[in-house]
Amino acid sequence: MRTSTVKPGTVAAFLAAAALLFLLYIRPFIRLGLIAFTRDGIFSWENLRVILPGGSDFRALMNSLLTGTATTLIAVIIAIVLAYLLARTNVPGARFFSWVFVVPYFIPPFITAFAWTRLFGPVGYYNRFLVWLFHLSEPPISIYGAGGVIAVSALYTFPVAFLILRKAMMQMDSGLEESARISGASGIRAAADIGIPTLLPSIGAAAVIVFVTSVSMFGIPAILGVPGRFVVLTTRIYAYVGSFGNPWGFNIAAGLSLVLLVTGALGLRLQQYFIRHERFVTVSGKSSAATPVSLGRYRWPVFAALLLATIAGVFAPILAILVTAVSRALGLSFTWNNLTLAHFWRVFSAMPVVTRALGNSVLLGVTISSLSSAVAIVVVFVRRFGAQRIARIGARLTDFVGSVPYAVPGMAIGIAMIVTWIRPVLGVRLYNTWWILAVAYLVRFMIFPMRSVDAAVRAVDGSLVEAARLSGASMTRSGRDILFPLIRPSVVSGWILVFMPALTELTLSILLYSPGNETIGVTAYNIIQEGLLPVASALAIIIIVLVLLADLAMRRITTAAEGL
Amino acid sequence: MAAISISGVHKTYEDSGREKNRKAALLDVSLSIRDREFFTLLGPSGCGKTTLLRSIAGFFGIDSGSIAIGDRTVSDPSTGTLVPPEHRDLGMVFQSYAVWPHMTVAENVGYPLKIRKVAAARIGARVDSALRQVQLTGLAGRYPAQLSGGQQQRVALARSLVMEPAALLLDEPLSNLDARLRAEMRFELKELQQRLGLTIVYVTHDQEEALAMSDRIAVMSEGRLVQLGTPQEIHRQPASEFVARFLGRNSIITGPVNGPEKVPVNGPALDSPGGRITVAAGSGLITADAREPERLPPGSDAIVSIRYTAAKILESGAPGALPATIRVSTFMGDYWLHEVELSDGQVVIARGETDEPSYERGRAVALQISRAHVFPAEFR
Repeated sequence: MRTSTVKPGTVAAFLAAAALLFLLYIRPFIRLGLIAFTRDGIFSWENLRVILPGGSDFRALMNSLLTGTATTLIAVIIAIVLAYLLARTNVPGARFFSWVFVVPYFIPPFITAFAWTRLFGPVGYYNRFLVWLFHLSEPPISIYGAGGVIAVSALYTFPVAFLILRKAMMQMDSGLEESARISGASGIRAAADIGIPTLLPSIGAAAVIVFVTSVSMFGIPAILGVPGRFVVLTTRIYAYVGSFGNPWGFNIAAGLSLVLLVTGALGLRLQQYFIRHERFVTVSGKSSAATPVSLGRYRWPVFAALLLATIAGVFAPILAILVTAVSRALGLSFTWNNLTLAHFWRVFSAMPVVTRALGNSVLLGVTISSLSSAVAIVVVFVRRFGAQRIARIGARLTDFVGSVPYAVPGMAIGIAMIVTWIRPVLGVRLYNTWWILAVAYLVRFMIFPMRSVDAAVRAVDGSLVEAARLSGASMTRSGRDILFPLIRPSVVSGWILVFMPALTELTLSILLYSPGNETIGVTAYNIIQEGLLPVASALAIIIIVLVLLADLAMRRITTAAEGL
Repeated sequence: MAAISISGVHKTYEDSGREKNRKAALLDVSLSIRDREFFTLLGPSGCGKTTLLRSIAGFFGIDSGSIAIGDRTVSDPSTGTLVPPEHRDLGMVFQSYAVWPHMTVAENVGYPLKIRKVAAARIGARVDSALRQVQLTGLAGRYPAQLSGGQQQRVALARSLVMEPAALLLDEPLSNLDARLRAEMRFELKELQQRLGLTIVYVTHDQEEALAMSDRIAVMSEGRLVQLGTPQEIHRQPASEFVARFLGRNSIITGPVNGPEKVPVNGPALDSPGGRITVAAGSGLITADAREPERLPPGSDAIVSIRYTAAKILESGAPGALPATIRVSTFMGDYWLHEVELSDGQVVIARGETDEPSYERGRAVALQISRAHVFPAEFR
């Protein structure tokens, strides 16, 4: 046991970190709680009464639960089937499909929602096709309402569940199911008796993430729910903030945010419970090299089905907005003469706000990614090399923080930021400036890179650094020469992991932006809501291209790191 | 229990999206495993032994040839026969044990009976008896996470025995155990096999394990069967340099063939199926057994394999021995291992008794080789 003497510098740094933590994370949520339970400074339950049966927002609560449950059910079933096919069978093109099925998660949900309206909206391509085909008088499918919100939410969230389950299935010892086969169980029986039960904790964890994500989502219900009079908690919160008629608007918004926060916190606990049980699955021995299950003569039919699903679920909506973006006018037939790139040009020339917003978003993205990566490196290094007592606190912090990102709904952070910064704090005025966006983004994204950097540092065997020390390098020198080069790919991918969602962020921005400080997410959302279809489509395509480029960069970096 | 016959089996792995090329895993493998035999597939990783075992289990089909268990053909692409694993009546123990973590020991072991719809009361009795066979009585209610690696493995063994299968397939079952337990389980497994009269197909890369337990061994390399025989045959008469190297602690040296043996210089000639040939090495000749002496004409390049137990250190100048220099002597507890260098720089490992002295580095000695095997160099 080493007794550590703590230097005064360390104490000062520690106190500064604690103060920052309090100011950014603790105080806003205390404020949120206070506002939610008071009216005019007096304790009150009234703000939460609205969600009780008979209250004005009871329906919104029920709709949120319905959306969450139905989305989870659909997304998890899709994820189980895809993960099994792509991780455990010999279906051709597994690599390609594993990439392409994750793409929907990178595209901002409000863009996805908009894209689907171009297919299944009243004048969407698919509806128009059906009307023409069957000589209908009305478009047969309506995307506005519960069905549309649930379907699009499921398509947006299933990749998360897919990634979790694919990893679990790849790690699962294939001998577990094979020994069931040898014991006399058919393939289906082996899956039911052995495969599914051993994967249950992973399925549970995936379901929780999908549920919490879909309940906290704003973009999809705002675009697809509100026009169909299908309101959920997030869209109600947004409505309360914007309504000047209700003197208690902010208090009720805070109350509803609290409901979302509690959902997220419960989800977090549940997920940690599942993860604890996940360990118990991999307890026995080394896993034998997994041999893919042969699909036999169904190999190519399954491939065809996956390809069709890719085209219908991933490419069709993107194609729909692409077609809208390059069409001279809506409703014209799709011929060479009717194609134009003018809308892409108009996005920038006729709308100065777009250029300004793009600048704001890039600046926010770069600032927040860099800052959060730096914080992650410091915290992780302190955890690994710091004095024991501090390292232990660091360890707890990174463990906790690693699973938080999805659990704190953006709407709740946004409301907490408003109620905290609406008046100057210690003489600093953030409200209605670019800075409140920066602070809010920081609160939301700071912890994103923590997990990837932490995992990377853990993966570096201690002996690598020790060998450098014995070769004569100082602690700092060996960190610079050995540790940092080894974790650099993870740091860069952690950076992109923040940059991507920060660039297209909508939920926080729509609550906190002010004229001149628009973000690209808000701008695109407003253009979509104004119904400027060609321009909105052009902007959506630009955003999708940006996001896919960032994704491509991250993949190159991570595959390069795997080769290390 | 039943015999297993494998004839002319070919298997290439299909492109699973990860490997770019189709690679051959089994090339024209034919062998028959007798009823109640402890049969071992031995070879380095990637030699095809696990592929062969999994073909017998039926986890995948073969490209050509056929596999029969007892009188029943289970795999034969020419007739489209491919019996799924659950209908092959086999037991299998995996390297990872593959004990189901969400079931108790009794549930694990009883599963094959439950699948076959055996009455619950009978399941209990048979599970008890299977657990008794592997000495796990009293642990029926435990979960796998509460068991040691060795106990988990016994659960896997009991589970594979409980339905009294036609044959038992064991895929490197001891490789995850520590050295002491591994040695213990070797005896136990062999004893169990003889007591219950089991047909066992055992896959391992550990030559000691194979020699200690098997009735017969099939040595495999790059998808082919390279030697089939009893442990004694394989140990005493390796068919190729590969087998000789794989059996371990064999020194391999090369040199030109001098000619057939004229006078037995190395003591009495042992039973050798082919003939005896002398090979020039260092500043002398080594006499070695050749399976096919006609393939080793004088002057051709030959490879000689010398088992460390057949090489002995004598005082320098001893008659009939090769001059050599000590490189290093290692005390092994029960014996010495001396690494010596011949005058041409080739290295041979020799065994010394513990009551002999140790030799310092550079000491001139003589190397007596009582038995060696010689192969044409193209066997490489």
